[in-house]
Amino acid sequence: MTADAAPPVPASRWPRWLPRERRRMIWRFLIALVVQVFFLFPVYWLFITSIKSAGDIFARPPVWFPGEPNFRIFGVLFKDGDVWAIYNSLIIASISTVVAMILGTAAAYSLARFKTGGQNLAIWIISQRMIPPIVIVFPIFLLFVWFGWIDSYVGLILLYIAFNLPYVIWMMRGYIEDIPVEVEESALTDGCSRWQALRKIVFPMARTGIFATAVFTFIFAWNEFVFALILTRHDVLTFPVLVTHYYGAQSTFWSKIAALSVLGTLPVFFAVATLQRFLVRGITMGAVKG
Amino acid sequence: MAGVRLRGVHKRFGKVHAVRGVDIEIPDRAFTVLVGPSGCGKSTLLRMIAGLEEVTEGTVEIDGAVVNDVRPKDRDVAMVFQNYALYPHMSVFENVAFGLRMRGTAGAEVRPRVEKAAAMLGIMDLLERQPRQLSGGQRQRVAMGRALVRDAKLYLFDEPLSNLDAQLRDEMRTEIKRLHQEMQRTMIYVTHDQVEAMTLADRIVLLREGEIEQEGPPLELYERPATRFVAGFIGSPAMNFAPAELEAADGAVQVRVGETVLALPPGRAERLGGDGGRAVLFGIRPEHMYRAEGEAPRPDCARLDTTVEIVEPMGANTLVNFHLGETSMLVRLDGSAAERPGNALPLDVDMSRAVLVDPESERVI
Repeated sequence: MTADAAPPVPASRWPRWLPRERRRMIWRFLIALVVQVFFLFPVYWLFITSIKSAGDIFARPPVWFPGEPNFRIFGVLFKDGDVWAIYNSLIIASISTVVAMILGTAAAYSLARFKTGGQNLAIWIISQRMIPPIVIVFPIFLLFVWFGWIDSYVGLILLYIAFNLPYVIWMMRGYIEDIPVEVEESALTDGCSRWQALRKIVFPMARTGIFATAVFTFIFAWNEFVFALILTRHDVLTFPVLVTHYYGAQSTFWSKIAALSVLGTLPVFFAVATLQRFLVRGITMGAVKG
Repeated sequence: MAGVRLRGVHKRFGKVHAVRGVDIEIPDRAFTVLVGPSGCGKSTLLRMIAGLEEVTEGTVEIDGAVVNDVRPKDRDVAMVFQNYALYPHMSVFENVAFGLRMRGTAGAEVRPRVEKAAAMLGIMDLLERQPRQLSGGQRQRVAMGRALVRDAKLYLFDEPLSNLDAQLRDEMRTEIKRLHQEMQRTMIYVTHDQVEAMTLADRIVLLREGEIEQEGPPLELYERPATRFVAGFIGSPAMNFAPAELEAADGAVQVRVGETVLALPPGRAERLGGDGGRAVLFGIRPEHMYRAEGEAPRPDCARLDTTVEIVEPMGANTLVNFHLGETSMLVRLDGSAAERPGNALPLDVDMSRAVLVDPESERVI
């Protein structure tokens, strides 16, 4: 090719009148749409399965939207008392999240600001999170039998606190370390005690991190299955465990599975939707030179 | 308002001995600058006075009372930090008012006081903004406002201007000096910039490796440095140093640098009387050498014939590089001087202001 040969101009697949920015936006929109459909379709399918009649669930070709929505199965779940499982999950996940957040944030503050235990303690704490639950389920089962905690709120709440603490500590340590220590020191010289500095300066600045960590901790506890399956019988069955009771050797209650799953999704959905406004980034902007 | 006294203060961070037995007495209403290179312990000293760092050994007194175990909030000090440390979730007004509110200032009194401080610092129109909406200079003013709004015993500044650009730094420096003159409060200011130290301080404490190298009024450190380190640190451009030898000749004492001989004025020569044949470091500031005029050197001066090597015009002054023996030296001449590299440049060296340093002890003779 000679040096002055102009490269061939590729023929545009788009009309010339469409500006480049607009074309780029259309592409982005289309990609976003595909991603949304990919993630939202299972949720949609779950919901419509819960309102389909038994015949529609197994129909071929599939019924994309039931002609007559049937909410009867939700009534059955309430009448049979199955929704208690969601109440149990709510109690256990909420209390364990609140306690894990309080203890974990305090520990994280100590690790971040006073370097308690040096770097090794922090690493050791997060390593606890990496133990596969199945490895320790048997000793914990024996321990719970001994304490009389099988099938009790206390047992599962304590266990979820213990399991979520490393995660909370690790996450909150990072968020607290991101807050310039001078801002806190400035509060101390401005007349705050250490606790006041935490309450008035550190917590508001770490708000994003606190809510994000709390949401994830809640979801971990909400979804936990292995321990809940082994450590509960009937009094404090959690929602993921109860769903499995609808699978049977002879029959599987798909509509019940779908309906309970829909009900089980709602608290998490509302929790995230409510807290979303706190999950905005950039709250620490402007504190220091930047 | 209060004086501050440090007695035998040490600070260790594990194996690092950051502050080594510092004794300082800061009088009431004085503007004291702690200056020194990075790692000399100046910020650590300030933080110990604020109560943000524990004292390993020794005592810190504010207003006559030992405060080693007193929490920062109870020491009644106001502090400005190097990186501003504003509260990002509060408006500028709330930032400035925070210290007042924490100390229980009556609600009706807060706004007038914040507005007074804001007016002093020219940030009245920024009060409703958030810190992230401010430029670096504006943030620094807010940080100052937050300290100055308080009626504190003691005002501490930890390199408050080092993040600002040169022009803003000069402006703020003047501002701080004016505020001190108006407020008449005890202020302790940490910087590594000797120009800031010289211009602001009533009294400079020059630190090196955790110890006080010299303290005194700025001009005393400039005119009568105690050590080579002080002589080199204070003054800009820095003092020139060249290895030399003292020689006794006809009852006078002269300094030999390589092949060049510079006679000391009679007064100084008498004080150094018996020191002929002694190795020294010869130090002279760039501003204490002048372009020679006429046949005879100026009073107390020695004539030095040099050749111009590098010329750095700076407007008001021109800096000229030349060699004395093996050593590269700098002279500050008038801005109108039209020197060219390679030209001869006869200089009168003011030997009454020359510094002679003992090379072993590094102390000025």
